[in-house]
Amino acid sequence: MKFKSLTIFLIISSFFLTCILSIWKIMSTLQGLSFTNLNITTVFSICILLSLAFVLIGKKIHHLIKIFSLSFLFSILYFYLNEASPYWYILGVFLITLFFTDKLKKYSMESLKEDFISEKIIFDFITLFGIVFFAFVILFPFYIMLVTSFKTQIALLVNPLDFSLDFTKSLSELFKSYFVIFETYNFGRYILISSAVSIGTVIVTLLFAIPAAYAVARLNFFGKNFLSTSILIIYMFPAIVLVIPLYTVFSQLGLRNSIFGLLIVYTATTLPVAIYMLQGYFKSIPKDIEDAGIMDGQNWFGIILKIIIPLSLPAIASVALYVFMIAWNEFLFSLMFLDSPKSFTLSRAIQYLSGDAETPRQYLMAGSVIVTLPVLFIFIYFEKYLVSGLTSGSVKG
Amino acid sequence: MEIGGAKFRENFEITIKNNYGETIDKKTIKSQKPILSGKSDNPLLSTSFTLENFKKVFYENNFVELLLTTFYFTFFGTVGAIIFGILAAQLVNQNIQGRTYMRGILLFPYVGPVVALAYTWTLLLDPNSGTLNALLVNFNIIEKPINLLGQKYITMSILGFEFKLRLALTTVIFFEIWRYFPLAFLFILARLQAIPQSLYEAADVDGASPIQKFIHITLPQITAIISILFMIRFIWNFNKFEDIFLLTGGASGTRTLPINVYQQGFAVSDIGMGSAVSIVIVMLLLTFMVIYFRLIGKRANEV
Repeated sequence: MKFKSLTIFLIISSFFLTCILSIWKIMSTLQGLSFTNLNITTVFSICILLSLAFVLIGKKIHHLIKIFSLSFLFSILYFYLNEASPYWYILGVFLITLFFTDKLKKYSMESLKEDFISEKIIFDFITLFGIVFFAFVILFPFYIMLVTSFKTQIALLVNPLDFSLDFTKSLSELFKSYFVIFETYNFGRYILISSAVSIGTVIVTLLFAIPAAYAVARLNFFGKNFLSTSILIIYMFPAIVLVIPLYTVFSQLGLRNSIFGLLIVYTATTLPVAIYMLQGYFKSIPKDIEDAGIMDGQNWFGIILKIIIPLSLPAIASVALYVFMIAWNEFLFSLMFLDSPKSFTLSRAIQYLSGDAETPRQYLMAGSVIVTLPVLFIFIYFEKYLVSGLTSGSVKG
Repeated sequence: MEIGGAKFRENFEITIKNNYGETIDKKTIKSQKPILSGKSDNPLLSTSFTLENFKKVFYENNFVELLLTTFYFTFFGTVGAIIFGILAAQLVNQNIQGRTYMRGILLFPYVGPVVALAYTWTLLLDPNSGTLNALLVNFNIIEKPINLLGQKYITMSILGFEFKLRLALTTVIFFEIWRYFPLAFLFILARLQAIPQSLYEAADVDGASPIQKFIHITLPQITAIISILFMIRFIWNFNKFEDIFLLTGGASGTRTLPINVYQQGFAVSDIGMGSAVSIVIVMLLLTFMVIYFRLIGKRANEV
């Protein structure tokens, strides 16, 4: 029993360490180091040695001394068994091993005797592995996007693996792609249009959604149930189906290529979500407060302005952020309705850029960074509101 | 004069005469701008209708393949997103350091603009100078680059059986999973955090293993949210246009119904055909929705 859990422990922990070291190696390859072999078998066997040594030593030495000396020995072994590599790379290996051995702290020969220890070991390391895996898989494309925007097309064609940044170059040289897309491709204008459309959508949507949500939540009127279910049905209605009728009608009305037309469509598509999210929140506000308002002689608008809005600011904030995000990221309608570069939004402008096969990729990526950064910043800064917005009403997208 | 008989790069002169037989000077012709005018009925206001387009949709449009591709894409995209969502939620729900940061990072693909992400992926997967292929070749995992987004089929042999995998479609499905698993993750995480801790403590007292705890406590608590997520994501993936359009443009076996709407309505400029395909989509969707409300509509209110 003890032997079985020891084997499982050794294999799983070594597998985990090998994976992290391989990821580190891949990332260093992207910094211009010329590794051509992952050496998985060699690394795996020395990882087994490391784990074995760790469990065998147990608690005979102080934990800190133990992990430092073991990691040091491991790094030296790794250095001699692998191809020549610079010191910063080996330092990285040392730090990874340090982190790994620290995670091993709770395992010793005694703890391997516990109930279900093999399942617990598997769960522990799958958790660790999963976190590294998910973080890597998600952040890697964003990293490539950012770094490509600082490189040149020629450098990338010569060596598609070298993403190292040359910081000795002057700043204007480094940010050249950004200067180019602002000067020759007019991205300043597109940023303005995108912001105007998104913020406009938020304002118009809230203007309609707050009274509508209040009506659905509080008032009794003919056809109320029909209205509140139809909100959900409109919400589930796909944009791709609406595109052709809207296109023909907008062409006749001359609303294509205009920001105003885009504003109408965006408001119409986000309004159901906004009403749905807000009415849920309005229902949770105690009715007594409103009754007190009525006693004071307020009419409906007074109640909405002076009672409902101040009380539901967090919900309104999350709706506003969510609507902003939808409008800023929207692509389908801007592709269909905007043909002239005069009225492009950012997303449409990037798609237009990519239509020309000769556009260097760093410009495309610089544009992508520009359209992504605001959304990510807003998301990180207001994460709490956005997450509650996402969970309360959203399945859209 | 017969222009068709002219030889290569031969010069010839065209004389233009007016109605009275006078020759018109070249300069006066150039100085006048051509006027083109036409008149037609507004197609939106005419009352003649035809079912011709629907016939074409079902018989001349590879309809079966279109439908199969759409279902393949929708089903695997949805199931994959939910599986990864469960895994990620299970990870983040444990007591690890930096849990909120991890939750934020996991949501990045969902909040990022689709245009930027799709182009980054195309760059990453490019066969000639893409990072992924270059890495795989560099570490001798594959011999020559694979065109992940431009190759329709790839033949694989597993255990002696050879089978064809739809490569471009699979890549697009992976992009879809990557982009939408965060949503499933968020909903499942919210549900997981609402499970009372006392259930797990009781299981500990009874000596349950981690796997038993997951199967007998966690899974029953999240089945309701999973079934709702499945149906909603299924409907949305069924209508997904942007992702496929930006990655492959519907080429190499990734043509789904929404892509077909665009191709018929805008690339071929046959608005009638495009609308007919849209109507087919709406009909299919209504069927799904009826099934959805029959099966889990009542349960949806409980969550």
